[in-house]
Amino acid sequence: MGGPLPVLGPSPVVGLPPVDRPMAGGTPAVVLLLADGRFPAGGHAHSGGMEQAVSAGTVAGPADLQAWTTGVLWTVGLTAAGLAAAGCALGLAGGPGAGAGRRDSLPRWARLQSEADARLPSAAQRTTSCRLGRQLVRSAGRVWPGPLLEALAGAWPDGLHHALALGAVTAAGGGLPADAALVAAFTTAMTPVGAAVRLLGIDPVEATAIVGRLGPAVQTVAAEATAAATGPLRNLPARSAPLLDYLAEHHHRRQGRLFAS
Amino acid sequence: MGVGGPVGSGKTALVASLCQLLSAEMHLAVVTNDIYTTEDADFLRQAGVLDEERIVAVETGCCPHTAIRDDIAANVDAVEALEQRFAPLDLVLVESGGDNLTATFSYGLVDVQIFVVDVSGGDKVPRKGGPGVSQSDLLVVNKTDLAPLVGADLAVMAADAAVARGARPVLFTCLRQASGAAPIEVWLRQQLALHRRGTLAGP
Repeated sequence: MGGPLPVLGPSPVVGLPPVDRPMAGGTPAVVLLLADGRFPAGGHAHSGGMEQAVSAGTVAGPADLQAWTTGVLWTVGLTAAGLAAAGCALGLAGGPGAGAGRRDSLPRWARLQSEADARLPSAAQRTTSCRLGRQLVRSAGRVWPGPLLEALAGAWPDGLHHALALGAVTAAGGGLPADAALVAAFTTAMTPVGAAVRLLGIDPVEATAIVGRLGPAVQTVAAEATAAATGPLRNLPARSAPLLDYLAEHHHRRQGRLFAS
Repeated sequence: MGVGGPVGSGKTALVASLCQLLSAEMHLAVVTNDIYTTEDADFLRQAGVLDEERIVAVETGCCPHTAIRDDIAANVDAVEALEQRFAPLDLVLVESGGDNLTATFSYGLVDVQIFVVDVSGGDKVPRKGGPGVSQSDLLVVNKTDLAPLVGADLAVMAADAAVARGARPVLFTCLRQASGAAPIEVWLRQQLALHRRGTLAGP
């Protein structure tokens, strides 16, 4: 390194509010951890359909990637965010952690699981979703141990759908339905972008800028999903992306693949 | 037990040999982590060393080292599924996808790990080091029969490995020869005995 150290001005903490003042938009750590691709729940091996989209020639460069990512965000992203918000709300329903794992909440989880099933017409996608949900509940159950995740792991050994698991884990970590919806929407956008960087050699900064530009849309999707999740379950978003279902079925059957989905 | 090391060094050959040597007396299963999903698993199935259903392939999303170290969720999922289905299992072998010298297993996934390198690229690998060479529980230097053909000096490799590894063991093998894996089998049986007594050294 060498060279003179930068001259620091007055300490920047001077003038900050006292620590006991509620911070506007305070974000619980669970949100940051779940949105971080390094969270060890197996997501890194999934491309969100991107591997098959690249093979099919549907996505070949940054412009395609932007269109693809926008499309999945507003369709399956909204659907996943609604399920995540509903899952989080159910996880919180018995009070923070304490009664949430009670057996009498399990029929309501089963109903949510059916709602998620009905929103994933591709069998391959349902299998992938449950596998990711199982892995998430297993890892998060050690990060935020408690009766809720323990009860869900026991009741769904084959896995809750990933979006519902995301909601439950957010609740277990002290987050709110809006937090779960935000993570679900963001992850839906980020997953294919991360995979495209590996599959196509797209400049990672250019790829990340796509998600950066989608930031306001991610927040809008999360807000719509959160609002929908306050009503009856039949009102949860049910947008689908038939091309994604089609590609997922082909990906599931192909020989030789890098990603699990 | 994890079996790691670069592409072509002999990991799959080692896994196949160990299955052959041990399957008559132990309940085994294998998890592979491949670049293209099932290459190694297919080889092992065709080799007939183990019941096909006991060999499972995990996808690694272009990052085999991530799947065995930073985010082991899919591997843990595969191992637990095998343990439930074929209980009781004595030993699960987890083979890494061929990766570079930095790719080691998390001890959240394995109790003990072997790193396999070979002499075909010359004798500098142990000197170049990296976590696999320096930290694995056993370093295997394979294809010793090729040493004269590529001008590799096994004594140099042994000396460099000793510098990198201190007291950790190193075995020189030729896995293509019959009974080539025998020294590794001896070491593995010692590790299993330690594990059963609960005295296997952790990371």
